[in-house]
Amino acid sequence: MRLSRVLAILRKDLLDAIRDGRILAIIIVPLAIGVLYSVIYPDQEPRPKADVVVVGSSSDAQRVAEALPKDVSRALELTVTTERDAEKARETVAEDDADVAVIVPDGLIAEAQAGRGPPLRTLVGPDASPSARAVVDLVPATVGKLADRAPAVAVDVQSVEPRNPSVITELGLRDYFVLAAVVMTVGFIGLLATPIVLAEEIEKRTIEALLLAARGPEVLAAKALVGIVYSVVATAILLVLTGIAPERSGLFLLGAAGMIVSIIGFGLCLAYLFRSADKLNTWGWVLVMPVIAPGFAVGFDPPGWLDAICQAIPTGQGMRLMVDGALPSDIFGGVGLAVLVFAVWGAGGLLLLSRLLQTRGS
Amino acid sequence: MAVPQPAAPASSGAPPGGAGVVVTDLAKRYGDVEAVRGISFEAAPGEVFGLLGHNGAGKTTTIRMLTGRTPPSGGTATVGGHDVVQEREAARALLNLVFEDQNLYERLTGRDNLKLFADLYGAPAERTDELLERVGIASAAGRKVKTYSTGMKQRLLLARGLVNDPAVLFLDEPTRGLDPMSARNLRTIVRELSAAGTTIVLTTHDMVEADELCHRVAFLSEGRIVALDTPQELKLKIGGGRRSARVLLEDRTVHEVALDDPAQDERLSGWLRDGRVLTVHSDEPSLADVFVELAGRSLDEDEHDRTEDAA
Repeated sequence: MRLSRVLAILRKDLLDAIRDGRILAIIIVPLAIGVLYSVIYPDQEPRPKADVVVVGSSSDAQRVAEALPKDVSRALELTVTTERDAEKARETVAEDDADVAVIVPDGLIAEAQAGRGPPLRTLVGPDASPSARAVVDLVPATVGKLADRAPAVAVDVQSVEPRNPSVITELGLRDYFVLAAVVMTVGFIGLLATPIVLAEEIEKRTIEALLLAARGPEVLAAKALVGIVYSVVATAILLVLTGIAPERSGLFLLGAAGMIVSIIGFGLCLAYLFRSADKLNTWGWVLVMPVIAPGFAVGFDPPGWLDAICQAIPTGQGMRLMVDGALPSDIFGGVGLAVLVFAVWGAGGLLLLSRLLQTRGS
Repeated sequence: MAVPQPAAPASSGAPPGGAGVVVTDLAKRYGDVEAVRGISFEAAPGEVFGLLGHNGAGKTTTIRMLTGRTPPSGGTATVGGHDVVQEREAARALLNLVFEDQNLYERLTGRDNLKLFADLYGAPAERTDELLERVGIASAAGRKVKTYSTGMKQRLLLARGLVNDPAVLFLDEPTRGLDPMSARNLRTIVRELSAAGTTIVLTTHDMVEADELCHRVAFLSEGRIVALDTPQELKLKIGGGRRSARVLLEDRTVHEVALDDPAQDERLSGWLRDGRVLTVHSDEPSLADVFVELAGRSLDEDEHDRTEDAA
């Protein structure tokens, strides 16, 4: 396979397809829907925030500054800074640049260890939120922990994970539907735009001329790349326009890339099935709907049979991985199964198409 | 005055090693249908070789096999000395095909169309403009192909067929649908290519074109070559061997004169002496007559089939 030939065909296809009104509409419509989702659905409810300044020059101040966020955990979005000068810290609070200042005297932890109940001054700003005031209440417990002192009452806090964490609760409606729009975009490009490019070549017999000058796998690779380029660019545009930044980009990319490649492999087979761009433009939409539906369904706790179908379709697996990648921890999991589904659909489609091209004398 | 005939090819008979087309017992079967049944022929460098026959005779299948687009069921074929099956890539590098369909990218410009194939064949960048100039559409090179006339598209197809400077060029109905001027221009280019040593394999339904361009023609019928020779010889051998002329006199009367009859020779001489002759037409059979004789059906019937196929 010669890369120069693949790139020559790719360049031609990118230039040619974008001049086709059908292709342009197929790419723009789901992008516009994604942007619309991001506007009409509410953003995820933000976690309460608090800005705290820990004042002190000793190592105790540093230890308190490090321990506080751990004790707050995910309940609060806490920003902790340190400051040596108490007067400067007071100004910061007064100017509302911080909610609370915790002034840690030298030897605080040693005093606490000795059970002497050392004094700890805190400065609370005029507009400090209830969350910030809660941090003040938390400081003695944090110091007690650092001093290895048993608290007056030992509270055993156990974190209980929900049996089925809700995707919508974790991700928010807006982000969820924007990711579903990514699935829609990939579905439209993979099952409509890319096969239309190939079907038009077959219909107008330009592929005969291509196959005379290039090898079948080169033509096939170029056609697949057209879909991949359009999908990647459209997905990137959608994420930028909606301001979505995945927490775990590797997992997110795996989901998006796997879905793109496998859907395009399947879509190229459609070109040989329909062999007419107009027929594909008419009937392809019927096929697109069940293929993109899992992207919308997986987040709404579908019944078992529907969930099984969703998991057997690349868009379902792609959406699951993208949702997991958008969050700090997994809701769905099952990367291995996702990769298997991608591989079966993608490789199956590409092999079938390769076989079709070979039998046509490529 | 001598009537123009196709110039003799650069060489004749069996092509020297590494050049031309050599076909030996080539066959193709699709299931129970034998599309091509063991045909053999050779086309020398510089020769314009015609493949003629009615629809379904096996011309297109033969071209598909020779261009490496479909594998033969039997026999061998070499293009430029390379086996089209065993050395397909090497053979393909030496050949090109001008398709019957105007399979161009209509949303792209003429130049972009040509540049794509120049890139695929690894031809130098300046080749694109050279060819656009040569086929006479340089001024329209920046226009989208969908704005081109049929003749301009056919010229662009020819330019695409020449982009890799092929040693063997296959032309599939190259002048179909063209106006007489465009067809004439295209034939001129074909003659130039032939004179430069390019082997040309031409399929056409236009018997006048075949007669005018081809050094030799092969008539295919039901997958077999039923006749192969120069157009002149075929007309003499198969066309009935008539030796007569039709004479139009100044009184608008037409007379058929047998040229092998001394008495009628004298009659013709008399008219010529008296200056009464307006035109003299040879009554020799045409290639179309040969076609009908060999194929057992008329060209009109064939055209009827084509129309039905298209419908």
